[in-house]
Amino acid sequence: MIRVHSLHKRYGHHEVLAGVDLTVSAGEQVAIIGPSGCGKSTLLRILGTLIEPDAGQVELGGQDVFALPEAERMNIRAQFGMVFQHSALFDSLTVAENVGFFLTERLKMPWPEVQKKVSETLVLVGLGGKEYLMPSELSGGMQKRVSFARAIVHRPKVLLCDEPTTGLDPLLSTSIENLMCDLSTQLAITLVIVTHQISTVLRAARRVLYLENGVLLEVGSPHEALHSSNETVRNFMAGALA
Amino acid sequence: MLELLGRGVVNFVTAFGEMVLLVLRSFADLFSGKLHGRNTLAQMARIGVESMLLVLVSAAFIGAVFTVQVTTEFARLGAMRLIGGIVGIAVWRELAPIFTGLVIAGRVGAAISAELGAMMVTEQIDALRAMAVDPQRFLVSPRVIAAVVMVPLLTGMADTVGFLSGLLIAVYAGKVNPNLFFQSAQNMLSSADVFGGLLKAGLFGLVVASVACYNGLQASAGAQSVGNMATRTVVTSFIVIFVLNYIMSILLYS
Repeated sequence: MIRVHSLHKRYGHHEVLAGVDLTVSAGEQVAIIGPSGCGKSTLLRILGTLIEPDAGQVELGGQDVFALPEAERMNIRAQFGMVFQHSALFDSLTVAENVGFFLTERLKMPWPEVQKKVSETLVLVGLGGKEYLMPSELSGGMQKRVSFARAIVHRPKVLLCDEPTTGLDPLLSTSIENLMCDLSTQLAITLVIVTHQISTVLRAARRVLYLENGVLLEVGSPHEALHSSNETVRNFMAGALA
Repeated sequence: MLELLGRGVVNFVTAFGEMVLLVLRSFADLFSGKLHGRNTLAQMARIGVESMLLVLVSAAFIGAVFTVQVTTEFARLGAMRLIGGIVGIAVWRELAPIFTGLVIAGRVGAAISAELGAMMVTEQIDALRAMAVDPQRFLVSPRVIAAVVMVPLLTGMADTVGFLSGLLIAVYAGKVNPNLFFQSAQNMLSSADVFGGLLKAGLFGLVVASVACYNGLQASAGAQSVGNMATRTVVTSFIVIFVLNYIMSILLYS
C-alpha cells in the first residue's frame, strides 16, 4: 500500500503540490488527471522517489521512504517499475539490453537467464522476436511497449506511468491502454497513471483523482468523473473527450 | 549588483563543491571495487584510442613548429648544442600536457557533456535511477577514472612524438647533429620533467571529465541546453587547464 500524507513541493515561487494526501491499495488501478503543468508528473516522480518533497511523507508498506538513506531508498525503488512519457529507452542499447537492464545491472543476473526473461516479457507486450532491434528502428508505439517491458521485467509491486499514451494515435493508445490494464491484472501490479488522456482513464483506471492548485480531489470511478458534481472536473473530462 | 555578485559566488561555490564530490565519489567507487568495469573500459577506448590520432598529429606539428622557431633563433645566438634539451623540456613539461588536455577538452569533454545532457533531457538518467542504478556509478565514475588514466598515457605518446618531430626538423632543417640533439636532451631533461608533465596531464583529465559530467547532468530541457552545456564544458575546461598549468609549473619547476 502507498500512503501519501501532506505532500508539499515548490519550484521557486510556484507551489506545485500544496498538501497532497493519497492512499493507493495494493493491486489498485489509479489515474491522476489534471491540466498540463498542474504537478501530476512531479507527484509521480515523488511517488517513485526520484525527487524529494519539501515536506510530507510517502509511505510504502508502512515505511516513510524519504526518511531512509539513499542506499535503502534504492532498494525501495527496485520494487517500482516506471514508464516515462517519452519512453526514455537507452538509445545505444538493443531492445533486449534495454528490457534486461535492471536484471543485468541491478540484480547481476547472468545473460542467458536475462535473455529468457526478456523474451518472455517481450511476448507479454506483443513484441516477441524484436530483441535485437535498436530503439531507433522502432515506431513510437513499439518504443512505448519496450518501455513497459523494461518496467515490468522484474515484476514490480507498483507500476508508475507518466503520460503513457500522449502523442500516440488512437489505435496505439487503445493497445497501450489495454496492455496496462492486462499487465496490472495478470501480474497483480498496483498501477498509478498520470495522464490528461481521458480514453486512458476510462480504459485503464478504476479510480480517478483530479489534481489542481496543488491539491488532489477524490473523484471516484471514471464513470463518476464524467458526471462529477465538481464543475471543474466535469468540464475537464468533457473538454478532453470533445 | 551586490545581490548578483553574491548569487554568482554562491553558484560558483555550489558547482565547485558538487564537482569535488563527484570526483571523490568516483575514487571511492574505484577503491571500493564498485567501479563499473565494462563502462570504464569503453570510456578508456573512447577517450584514449579514439583520441590518439588527433593528439599525436597535434603533438607532431607542435614539436615541429617549436623546433623551427628555436632553431632559427639559437643558430643566430650560436647555441645549437642546446636545442635537444630545450625542445625536450618544452615538450615534456608544457607543450604535450597542455595540448593533450586541450584536445581532450574539445573532443571528449564536449562529447561527454552533450551525451549526458541528452540523457538528462530525454529522461534516460531518471530511467536509470528508477531502475535503482546509480548514475554516478554507471556513468560518471567510469568517465572520470578513464580520463585520469588515459590522458597521461596519451600525453606520454604525445611527448615522444613531439620530441621526435622536433628531432627531425632540427636534423633536416637546422642541420643539427642527431647525437648532439639527444645528448643535449639527456643532459638537460630530468625524470621530474617527465613525471611532472604526466602528473599535470592526469589533473587535466580529471578536470575535463568532472567538468563535462557535472555540466552534462545540469542540462535542463531541450537541445539548446545540451549545446550550452557542451560549450560551457569546453570554455571552463580550457580556463581551468591554463590556470592549473600555471600553478603546477610554479610548484613543480620554479
